[in-house]
Amino acid sequence: MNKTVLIIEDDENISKALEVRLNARGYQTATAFDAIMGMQKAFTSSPDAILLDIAMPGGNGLTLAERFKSSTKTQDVPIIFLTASKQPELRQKAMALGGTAFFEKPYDFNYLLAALRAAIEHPNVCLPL
Amino acid sequence: MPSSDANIPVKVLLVEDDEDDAVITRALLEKISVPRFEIDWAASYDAGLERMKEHHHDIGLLDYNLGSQSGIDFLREAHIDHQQTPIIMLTGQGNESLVLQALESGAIDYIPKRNISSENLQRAICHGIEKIRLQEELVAHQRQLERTNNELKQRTDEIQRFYHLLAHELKTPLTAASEFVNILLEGIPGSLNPEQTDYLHLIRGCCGHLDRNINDLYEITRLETGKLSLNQQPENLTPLVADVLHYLAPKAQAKNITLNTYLSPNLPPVMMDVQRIRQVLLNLVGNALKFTEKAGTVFVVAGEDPLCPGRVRVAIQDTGKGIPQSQLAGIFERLYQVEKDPSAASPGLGLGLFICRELVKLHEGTMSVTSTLGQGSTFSFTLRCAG
Repeated sequence: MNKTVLIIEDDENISKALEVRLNARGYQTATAFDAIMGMQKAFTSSPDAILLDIAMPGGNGLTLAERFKSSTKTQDVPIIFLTASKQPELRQKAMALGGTAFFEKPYDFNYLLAALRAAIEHPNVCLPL
Repeated sequence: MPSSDANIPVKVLLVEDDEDDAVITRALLEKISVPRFEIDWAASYDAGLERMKEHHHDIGLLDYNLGSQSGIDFLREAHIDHQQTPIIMLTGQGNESLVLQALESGAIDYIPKRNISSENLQRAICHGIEKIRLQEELVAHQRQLERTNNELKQRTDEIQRFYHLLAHELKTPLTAASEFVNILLEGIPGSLNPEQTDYLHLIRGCCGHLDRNINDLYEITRLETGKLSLNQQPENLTPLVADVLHYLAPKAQAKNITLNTYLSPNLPPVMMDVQRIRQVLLNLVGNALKFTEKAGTVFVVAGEDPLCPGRVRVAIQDTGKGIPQSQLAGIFERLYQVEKDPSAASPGLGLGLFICRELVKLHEGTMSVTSTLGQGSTFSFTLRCAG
């Protein structure tokens, strides 16, 4: 059965690009463009992994990750962070919240894909990326 | 403070409980024509303090012996009461410890009564007033400097915030653009002809270039605003150099450039922030590959610096066309670019080498370059050995 990736990303173009490339590799995708929609989809679509943007309308990706990690429905779902911000402390914060991997935009999709595969297969391992 | 206008009299508070001495001092002051003095005589300790509170005086002349109290007590009490009038002590005793005590208690000068004359009074008062004026000017300048410093700090923070925002706002559409180029190149929406593929590769190259420029601008602001800090640990250079060369190998292969290393077998660990030195190596080796012709050689050498014990020197040698001597001196300066060769690839913003040098400096290392036209260049930097 195909794995489902939830993409929570407010930039519709990036979201679309991720969707197209993931679908082309056999993943199913669900998309959300803000924090509230992201929460709804995370709790209803049973994703195998979440790609989570950090700066978003309606809430911060870090806060959202904290919520996911404290909910029994989503606490085991690996989260891969994406951000266009270059603030150096973000990476530490994201990983401290239980993120599996962290990518700065523009990301290398092949590395992102490798991280996603590894995260789905070994959800409790953090990747030093 | 009195105006520099000689017609405006200098207001003097004379605190003197001996009427004869007061008359003499007044007479000596009245002999002076420039500046003119307006004398306010207080005949006791308490009267002196009261006058000081109630009226403005440009300067005070204070007798040391004031009945049961002393001029030192007066100075202390005036200081506690935040009185700002500068005071010259008049003393009949002339002893050094008394003078020191008076000056420590806030007097700006003293005149022994046995030496009192119009000239001495004039000089001491004028010096005193000038001293206070200069002190006030200094305080005003210090405050101005503090204000300017705070404004600059605020501007620095604003610039930093602006660059965060700029990086975010530029990187978001850049990510989308390069991702759609990749989608086309992967043939997801359909196959491409070779010309279309070439053009898309060009766009992808441009996106990469733009990304590097954004990163450089961001790094510059962090370096220049002192926000960039290092996480230095004892580390081995060998795996880092191998990693960088592995990353750049496709670029070397594309130009058929031989990419070699010679790392001393006894290379000691160095103190470094691995990510930052990786950035320096990527930049220097990347530049070497960029400016070396096809089928050339780029060599990375590292070993203990024989001229500088306790340091490791890392050198990147290329067989490029070299850099004219006249242009070597400023090559690490901000926004510097080697004279534009119309046939050369885009020279970039001229920030890369500046960033490298600043990063090496943060590691307490130095960076240098030698070059011979037609033979190639060697960029090198040093790092401290760990331990």
